[in-house]
Amino acid sequence: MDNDIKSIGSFLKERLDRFEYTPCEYEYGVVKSCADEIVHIDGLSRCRYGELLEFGGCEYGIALDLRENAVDAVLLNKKSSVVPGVIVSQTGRVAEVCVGESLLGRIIDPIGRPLDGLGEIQSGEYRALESHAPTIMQRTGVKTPLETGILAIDSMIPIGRGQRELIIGDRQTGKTAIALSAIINQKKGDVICVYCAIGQKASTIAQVTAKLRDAGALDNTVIVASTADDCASMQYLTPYSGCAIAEKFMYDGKDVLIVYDDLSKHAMAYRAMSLLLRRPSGREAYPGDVFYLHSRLLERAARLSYEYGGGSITALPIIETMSGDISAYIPTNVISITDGQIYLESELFNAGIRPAVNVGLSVSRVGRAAQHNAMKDVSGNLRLVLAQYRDTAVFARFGADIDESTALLLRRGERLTELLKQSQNKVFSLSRQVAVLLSYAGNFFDGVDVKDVIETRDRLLETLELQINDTMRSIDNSGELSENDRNLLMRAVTAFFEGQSNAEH
Amino acid sequence: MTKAVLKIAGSFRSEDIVRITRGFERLLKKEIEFDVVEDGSLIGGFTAFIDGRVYDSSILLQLERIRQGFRE
Repeated sequence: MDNDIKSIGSFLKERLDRFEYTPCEYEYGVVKSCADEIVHIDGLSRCRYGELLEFGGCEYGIALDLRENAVDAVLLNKKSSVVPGVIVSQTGRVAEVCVGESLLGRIIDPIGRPLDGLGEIQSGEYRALESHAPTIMQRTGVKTPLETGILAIDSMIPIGRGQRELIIGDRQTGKTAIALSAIINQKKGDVICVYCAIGQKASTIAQVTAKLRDAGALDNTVIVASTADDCASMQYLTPYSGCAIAEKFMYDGKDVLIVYDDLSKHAMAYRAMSLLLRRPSGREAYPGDVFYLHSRLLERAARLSYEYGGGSITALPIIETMSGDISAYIPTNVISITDGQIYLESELFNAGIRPAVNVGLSVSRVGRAAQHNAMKDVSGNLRLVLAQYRDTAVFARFGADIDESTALLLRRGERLTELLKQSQNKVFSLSRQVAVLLSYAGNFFDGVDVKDVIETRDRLLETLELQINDTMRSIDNSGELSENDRNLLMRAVTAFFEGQSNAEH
Repeated sequence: MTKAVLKIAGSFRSEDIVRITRGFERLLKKEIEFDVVEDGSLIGGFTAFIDGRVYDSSILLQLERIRQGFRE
């Protein structure tokens, strides 16, 4: 203890001895006009793009447009006291946010101010909001699965650690619910989560927080939020801030899941800023660099190679479509940037199929490389069966005569559709998913009434947890389905369904 | 004559202001007329704003630099 105090004392003395009084000379600018958080400044000819500017010593903004002897900047505060004539000085720094473990369980705004009323963030470390994505040599292939706990996704559209998987769909189709389930599923694992709420209603952010807290997942999560009430600049910075927080964990060798909810609102905030900055507008009035806006953000998601710590950032950006139009400007941009998409459909959602995943339009470009062997063994041609069923079901609705094989396809498809239904925030472990798919593959559900499938599935899983708990944990821990585990599982499933049919008779 | 702003921490004597003005005139080789403003946040010293450049000789800046030095 004494040694510590002495070493701190000598450190401070050494720093003070080194200090020399030197006056400083730097450039300043003067606010020419200010409207809608956009400030036009005269002067600052050596200002750098993205540099943090200080207005009158008490407010901050970011330089976004540099011209000869003039700068346009956005303010980081809506209720600003900046008026024409205020002196602006450069800080020599770019915008930063506090990072580190002390943020876990906290809700902050994009520049690190706490929004949860739990006091100041005790973090001595800062990271620039904008930074370079990992280089090619720093990266390695995406091979480790990131389980979402959602059967339809983990079996047919597997997501790997380091992947960018877009969640796309109309409003009210369960996009956020999927992202939240994925976060909730990480609560017992080693994955840290960051949830970026961009321009959302404050009530929605409160609901999300409550859901995560109730599920016990908040302690493992950082929420970076800007509400619809916040200025466009804060909404614009939110995902970059969340990404900077995630990067700190990634470079420390940890796995991170980051959700951007949603990038449509982010693009709109950037459009508002760009129009106010009088930048030329292009398609749908978005500026020319709106693709770069999202590509530079999503490029920062990566799986680092072992030499660089082996951490990862898995990104789940969300895009809201209008009337199912995925060919609009922002959706097509983000689809082309990401490594696959989960497409949610209003029709499926309204038909009670939740999660409302359209298997035909959803894809994971990483594919089976990011799937546990146990899941690979049992998921087989699930996508194909489901897609065939949905196509055939459309014709069957017209009352057309159908042969025996088509009837079987429909019967099995109906049951598979039911099996894949999952209520919100209810997540399935790997062993449970394997058990369900194995039972389906073994045709055990063929004799169950469609309306009873979900109930039977849930009872089966409860029974298996009681009867062969060790086997279930062994599958969860190893990610493998050994011959012995498969036999035990099949025996238990067979016994369950035999018990069912005996009880019926 | 170049118009400029001189922020001072407290009440400076008029001869101090004249000395500062002469010093800047020698440095920049031009005549300067300061609009003098009192700013307690500087703690001590002065800050001059001349032709788009700040000449900061305030205690506030020096303390900030000491703080940065401790952080590094």
